[in-house]
Amino acid sequence: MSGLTPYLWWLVSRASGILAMGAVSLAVLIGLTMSTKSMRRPGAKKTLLRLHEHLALVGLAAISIHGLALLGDHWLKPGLSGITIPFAMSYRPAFTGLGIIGGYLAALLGLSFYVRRRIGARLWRRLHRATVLVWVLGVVHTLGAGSDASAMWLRALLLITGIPIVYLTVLRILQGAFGKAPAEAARKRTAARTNERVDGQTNKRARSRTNERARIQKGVADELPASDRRILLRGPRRLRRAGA
Amino acid sequence: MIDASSCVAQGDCAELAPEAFEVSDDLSIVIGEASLEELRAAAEACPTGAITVIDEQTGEQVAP
Repeated sequence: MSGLTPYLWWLVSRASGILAMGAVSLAVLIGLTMSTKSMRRPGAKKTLLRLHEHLALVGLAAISIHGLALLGDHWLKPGLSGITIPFAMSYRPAFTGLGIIGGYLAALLGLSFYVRRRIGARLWRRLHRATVLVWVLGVVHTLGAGSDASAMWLRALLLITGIPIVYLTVLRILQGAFGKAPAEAARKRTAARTNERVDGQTNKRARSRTNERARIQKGVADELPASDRRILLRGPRRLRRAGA
Repeated sequence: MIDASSCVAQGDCAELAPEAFEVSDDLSIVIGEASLEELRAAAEACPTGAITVIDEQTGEQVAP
């Protein structure tokens, strides 16, 4: 153990940096999987969302340890300003500076999830889209300033997580640019179903759905429990904000 | 009812009950009516539990 002591903080920083990169990569990957609708099973989303959140928190904690551990490193001696002010560290200032910016961005974008009630869901969601920048900055920082940057296993890790992240990011951008986002697709399906009804009920499924609704509305469907006889949402209605 | 502050606009509700929900401008909104079965499915699928289905007459929570 005594042989490791001089390098302890450096080893802690390296290990936590690798953990941070892994956790952030997986969190971003899961987030993109959900936002691009690449996972079609609705039930799986609850699990994925929890995993996404916990990985992001692990990533944030690891980023903090990664920076703070360097304060104990006898060779680097970055000082508090070196680990908190971008480009102030003497060691590879450009790459360490980008890492620090990535860390701040991770904290800002990640923790904004917990204040989304205050800032509004729309603003939060727009901010959250920029989270992929944290991953980009992390990769640049790791390859440019990481002690293990030349190791094949680290490059393989970045490549294995990076390929699907880049693919899903491009997919997400294309979905947004060409209006094929899930919301748009759902809207088109809604319009299609409405047209089906307007066009003389020619579609069997549409006719079945309309009949089912009529049965429930009239409350004559004896096979249904009383609570099922009501349509709970009546007429166009704007959403209400909680507490409003 | 949709809790706007919990909604993360995943759009499952709009897929399962497209006549009742729509994702518009990064938020799910209520646009119309749907069968209870569809509303239940949408509420249960919502990953953040932002949808609550309440019986208008009894005030009882039906789903999730």
